[in-house]
Amino acid sequence: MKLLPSFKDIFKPAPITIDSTPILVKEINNLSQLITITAYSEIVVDSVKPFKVPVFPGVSIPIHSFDDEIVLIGKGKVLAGVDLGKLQEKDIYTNDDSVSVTLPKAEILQVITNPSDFETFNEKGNWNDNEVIAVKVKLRDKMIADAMKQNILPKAAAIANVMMENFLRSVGFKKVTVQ
Amino acid sequence: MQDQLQQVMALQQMNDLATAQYVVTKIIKANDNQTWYKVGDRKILMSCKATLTAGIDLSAITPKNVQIDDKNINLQLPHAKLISINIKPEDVEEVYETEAPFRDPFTSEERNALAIQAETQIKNSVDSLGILETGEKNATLFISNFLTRLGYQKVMIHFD
Repeated sequence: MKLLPSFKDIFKPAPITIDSTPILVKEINNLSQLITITAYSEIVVDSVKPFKVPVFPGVSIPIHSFDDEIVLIGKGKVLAGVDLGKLQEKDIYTNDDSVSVTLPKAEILQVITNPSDFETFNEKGNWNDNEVIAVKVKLRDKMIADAMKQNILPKAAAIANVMMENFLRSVGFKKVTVQ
Repeated sequence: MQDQLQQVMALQQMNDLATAQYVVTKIIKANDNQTWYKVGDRKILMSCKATLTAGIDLSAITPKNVQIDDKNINLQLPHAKLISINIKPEDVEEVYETEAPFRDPFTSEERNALAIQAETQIKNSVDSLGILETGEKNATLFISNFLTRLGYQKVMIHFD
């Protein structure tokens, strides 16, 4: 049984806990989005603010050992699918047990990079809120670009077609065409 | 600023119909005054906006969950679930910060740790916000309208 705290624990900083403040609902939106694929990414961002000493007007010497540096590891998700809210009357055709549906184009529906998705691997110097946001936004843009390179939209469209086809068969149609 | 990027990626199929989206806000308030050997307080106020999305898993709809009687259809859907919580980096903003003369400002890591606590509190509040009920109501509305456009006259939907 430990009666006294260890030396290490005595000098351990107390955790900072946020107050329990109310959560306010600002907007409620109706959606009809078919989410068919998620791309999970893990990206390392290393950003540096070079330290320079001015020697003459307009001339400065960089001293790299004094550079400010931040290294973030960011995990995130890119969700893609089709927005069924864009379906129009002309996109649906039925005749007895036959149905034909033309789905809207697949699109990126959400890009998720929550605070819990980020880990600060290294932070040297002062990084204000806006500078860190800029690094995180750059990381998010890279996530979208990578997902596009992985052909996320054609894959999302193909899965949406299969899902819609299965749904239409489940609700009784025998001849189903989805495009 | 110079940036270097490296990435790892994996793809996963989903079958969700997102039907409700709530935008919520929360003030993040913290006071760092509990460490005995640190002289003076540090206080921070941040604002946080989160977008919550709820909907239903469409893959759960199979022929055994559907009963058809001529132009009438009875559909059993799974209960709505939270699909995502999305707090964009630019939606967490520092509003105010103050520190005593012998204290350092909050680092980005410390600010992010506070935002993670807010994220957890928002996640835990999902049941009380009513988004799942709205998700089911909107799913009923959307699927009823869709099936009506497909030619059904009476659409009955229930959740199990």
